[in-house]
Amino acid sequence: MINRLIAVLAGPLGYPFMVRSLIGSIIVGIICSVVGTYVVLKGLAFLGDALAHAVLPGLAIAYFIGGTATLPLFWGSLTAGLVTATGIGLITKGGQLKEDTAIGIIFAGMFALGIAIISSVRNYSIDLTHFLFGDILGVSRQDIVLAVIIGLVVLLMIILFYKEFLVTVFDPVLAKTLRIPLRFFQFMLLFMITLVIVVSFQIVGVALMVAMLITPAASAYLLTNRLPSMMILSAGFGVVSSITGLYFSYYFNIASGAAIVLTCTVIFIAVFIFSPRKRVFIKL
Amino acid sequence: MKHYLEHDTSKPVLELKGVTVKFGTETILDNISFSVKHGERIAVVGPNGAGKSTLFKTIAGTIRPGSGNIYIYGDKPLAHICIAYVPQSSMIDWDFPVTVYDVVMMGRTGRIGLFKRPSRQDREVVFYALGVVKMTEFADRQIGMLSGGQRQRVFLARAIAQDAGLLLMDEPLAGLDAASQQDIYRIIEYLSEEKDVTILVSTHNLNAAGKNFPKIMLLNKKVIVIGPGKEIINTKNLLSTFGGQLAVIESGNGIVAVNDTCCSHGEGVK
Ligand SMILES: Nc1ncnc2c1ncn2[C@@H]1O[C@H](COP(=O)(O)OP(=O)(O)OP(=O)(O)O)[C@@H](O)[C@H]1O
Ligand SMILES: [Mg+2]
Repeated sequence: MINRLIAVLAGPLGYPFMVRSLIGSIIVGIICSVVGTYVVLKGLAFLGDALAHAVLPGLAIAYFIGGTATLPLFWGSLTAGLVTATGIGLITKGGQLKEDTAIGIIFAGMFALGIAIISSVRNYSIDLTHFLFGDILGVSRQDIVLAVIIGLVVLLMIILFYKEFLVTVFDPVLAKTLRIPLRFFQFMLLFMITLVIVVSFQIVGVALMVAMLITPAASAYLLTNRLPSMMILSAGFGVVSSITGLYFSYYFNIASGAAIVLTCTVIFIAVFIFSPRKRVFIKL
Repeated sequence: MKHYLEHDTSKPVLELKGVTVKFGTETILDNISFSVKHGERIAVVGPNGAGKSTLFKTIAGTIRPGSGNIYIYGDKPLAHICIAYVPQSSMIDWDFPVTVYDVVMMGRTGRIGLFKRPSRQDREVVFYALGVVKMTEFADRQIGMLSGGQRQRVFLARAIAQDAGLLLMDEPLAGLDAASQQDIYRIIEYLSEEKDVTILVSTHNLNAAGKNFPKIMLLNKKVIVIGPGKEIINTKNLLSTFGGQLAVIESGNGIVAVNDTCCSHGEGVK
């Protein structure tokens, strides 16, 4: 019985690519779910999808320079992502426009810019959308290293600036009267979210990244009273979904990304139905 | 407990010199000058749209005045983290996963400092503040599960935890029943008398202002008058503050009965 269980668990681990995708999706699961708590609390569910498309001009330019090498593509999309985030931050600065409006404006503009760049170059036949939709089973060692570094940096920032981010997100007016550099922390948070989104979608693809960003955090939101427990629970959901999803995909021959997303969704539905405190769910 | 900048209590806690605030071309606050001494407790009274909230926001530093200067203990306000401001309608998301304890602890963020976690002393201050407003038993409650009066008390506790030298409360009593209003007044009184906190509270309720505050400021774009209620509440001042929105009936023994016809906040002048 036990032997059989071990055999089942060990099955996929015989393949190096499965091990890599397992590690990759666990790391992405953790950082997306943790950062995702801020995304859900700020009501920015749209941000992930938008950023994944807004990086197109960066991808296009990086492709001219470096071809299909991972790192130039990463830096290209990161730069475009940070430009997008800065634009969103600047547009919402005066408080006249809401963040999701700003996201819509910048994302449409950046995506169009990317298309314009690509179409203006002849012989540019390669389909860049391929890079937008990474593949969880194609995770490379380099991807993992990149994800680990960025994950550690982001988690460290979240821990170091926990108090400041909390005040900034929860009560900007208090942040101002406490003379906390509000704009600085708002930009920093936006940059961190951008960093996580860019690195994640290149590793696991847009759909899985969006699911990891929103769904575990939303499930955790329904179950917790405090931000730290929401983050930890969210990360837990992210990890459990990654592992469960990948095993399901291995044994039942389901596309891996889809299996992970579906696991996230099932957890959410279960939580939603059995949540002890049914908070009205208006933010998503 | 020390403040960020040493406070010279011989100087006015708050001084406004010729402060003017405009939204577009409309002048909201016109050449406001007044000063508030250490430990004073003042009610700011004026009709809807008089600029009470704008005045508080300007003092708190969330709005910058078009011209004029604001001094806190003689310095520019940006050097101070001792101003606690409780807005009229808070933009807070009450479903946010924070407890009463977390919200009060936020008041200490500036004093704890970057990269540090709350110390035992910070926790003690938070529980002391919760004790003052009688909210200790609610410390672990998510903030959405509180009544209106309890929410106001949490904000007061946060101001206490902040070690605020100057407390600005914008219509803290709107929507509260008489008992809760009394609770809030008692806490305000305690802070003022025992803790030497300088307090400005805006309200529509002239009666309650007269009873609970040694000083009243009548405001309508300009400071009409500022002084003890007994000396300044008269027909002339009330008419220039409330204009046509208020019927002033002077009775024989010098008591002014007023009838606020403008009030949508459910705490009109009685
Ligand atoms: N952001 C803004 N932009 C333009 N005008 C504004 C803005 N905020 C306030 N005003 C205007 O400034 C004037 C004063 O508003 P304020 O909120 O300070 O009044 P108040 O005395 O607090 O009124 P109330 O008793 O209703 O709270 C009003 O005429 C209002 O329309
Ligand atoms: Mg007001």
